[in-house]
Amino acid sequence: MKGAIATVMKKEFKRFFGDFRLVSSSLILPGLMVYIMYSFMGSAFLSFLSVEEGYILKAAFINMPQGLFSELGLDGVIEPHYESIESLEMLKESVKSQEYDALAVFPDNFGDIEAIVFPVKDVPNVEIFYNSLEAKSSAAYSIIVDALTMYEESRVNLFDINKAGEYNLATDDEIAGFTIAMMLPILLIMFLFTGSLAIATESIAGEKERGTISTLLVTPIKRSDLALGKIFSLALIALLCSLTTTLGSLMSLPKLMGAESDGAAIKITPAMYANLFLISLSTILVFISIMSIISAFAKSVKEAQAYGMPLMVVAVALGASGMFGPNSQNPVLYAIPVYNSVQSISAILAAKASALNISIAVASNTLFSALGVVALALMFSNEKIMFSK
Amino acid sequence: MSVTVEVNALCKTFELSKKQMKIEGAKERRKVAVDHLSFDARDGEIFGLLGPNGAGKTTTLRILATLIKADEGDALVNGYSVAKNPEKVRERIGFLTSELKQEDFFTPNYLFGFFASLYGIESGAAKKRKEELFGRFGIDGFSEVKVANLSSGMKQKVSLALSIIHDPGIIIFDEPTNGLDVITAKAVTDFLADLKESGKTIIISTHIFSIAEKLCDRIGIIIDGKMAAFGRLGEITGESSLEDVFFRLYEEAGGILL
Repeated sequence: MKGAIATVMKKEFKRFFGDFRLVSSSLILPGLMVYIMYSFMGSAFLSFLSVEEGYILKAAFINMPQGLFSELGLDGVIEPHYESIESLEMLKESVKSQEYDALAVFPDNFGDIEAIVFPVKDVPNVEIFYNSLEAKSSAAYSIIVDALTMYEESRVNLFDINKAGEYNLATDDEIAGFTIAMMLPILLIMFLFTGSLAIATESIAGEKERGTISTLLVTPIKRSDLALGKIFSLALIALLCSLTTTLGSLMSLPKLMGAESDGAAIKITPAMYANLFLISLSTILVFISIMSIISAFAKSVKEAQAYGMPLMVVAVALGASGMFGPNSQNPVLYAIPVYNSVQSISAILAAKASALNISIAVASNTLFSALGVVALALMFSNEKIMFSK
Repeated sequence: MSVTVEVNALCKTFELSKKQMKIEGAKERRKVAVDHLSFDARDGEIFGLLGPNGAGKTTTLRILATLIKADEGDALVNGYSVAKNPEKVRERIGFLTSELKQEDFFTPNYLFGFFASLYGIESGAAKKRKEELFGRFGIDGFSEVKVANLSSGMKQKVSLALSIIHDPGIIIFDEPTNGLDVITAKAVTDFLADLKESGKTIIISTHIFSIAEKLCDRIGIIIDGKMAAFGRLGEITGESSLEDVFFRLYEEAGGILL
């Protein structure tokens, strides 16, 4: 029956794009949610690390030599409370309960530093107690440590490291680019999978659950045409869905990382885009065929989605393998479906992709999906699978 | 009248789940649903499979519609084997049962176009056919209403119209009036009579004697998957009523009437 594949595809598109609920829940909302979530997480993380303006940090000092406080340059930065060693335990509790932000205990022999000669033995140890869960406490801690370190260096200084100016040769943009290159493989694989999960289960397990698939099966259409039409159209829809989610995360990643970069830092050439597209398309074909087969087995959408969850974990774990750049250039590894996608995405972003490996990856994924189509077609003709209740 | 559907010694068994075995008190894991069933149907007639629930009527019709496969035996539809040429068979039959549902999201109008395209009907012919079928069943007023919002009678009419969209020579209808109100049921049975007049072969299954008596030219009485009686209505019943004949056959087959 000529054109049957196109007819099935057209119906799937009409079903998806004609339904505002579906479009908004799987095309628009995920991307928007990821954007809002990442942006929110980024700013929440930043505010967690910062102390509100106008707050004066309070610290207790035990045994502090006279005049040292001013010498450390802490005047006006920290409000000092001088205490005695007897109240040590009580003061520790006060740090925990945030009454004080930090507690610094100077040893009795702190004055010995005046007489230190090389080589150094048994140097005095200053103990600073703080609560890392509290931003104020952490801030007070690092201020006191920094002040003491500087004080120490002014006394005994062998050499300095990076004392003046900016030494990191990577620009902010490049750092953002690196972050994106690190995060993108895992995010992309995750979004490609979630897109497939939602779309394939609804279309195949859903039709089975609602009894509409039998109506299609009594028409003269070939089972293979039905399988192809479903998989092609679902793959395109799922690709579109994952595209919006990926876009949302790309736009909000710099915010998540607290960087001020606009995220356009990573230099993606048209060739890289083309490769990324090919890899994404072939990957989603693999995901859609796997999810379609699972959906055809399942008796309901819920059941199919439940089966999809462990697979999602596997997909994310595979995605994590690409976080630190491509592992290997060995072409054989590029024949393993999905793993090859992660490696390819990582290689493309690191500008280390080889045409051979990308071709192997796309070919292997396509072949895997073709096997999936055959399996799905066989399942459509299997009464035990299609009509099991 | 020539034979259009020929059913030869069809067999079908199902595996029972352990739970189902308990419910039915069955000792065997396999349940024979259809047991060497043979019959034929001709053009210009309505053939009825009459039997109680679970006798194997629906299973037989689903084998004819190529939805499920027979374990043994074969059926020929216009000379095409349901086992070897399922696609050729599906082109030639219209199959309808209440379990075939239409997608709630679409309108009858869209679905008609969709199925016309699946059956390879070109658009001009499809338009004419739509006017004819929608007019006949009074769907035209609802052609742009989503299936979800149609009454159950109207849904059934839409399903019926869609199942014979390709003007098949053979119409297989599982329990044609099940769940329909009297008005819709009459529309359906009248339509079946018209189809018969126009020379189509119609095979229906039913457990309602009055429908068998009123509609069918020939019937086959199925009990426990076996053909208990087969022939023209008058030949089977003789002087008694169909109901009496059926209950006698049922008891002869070992069935217990409460």
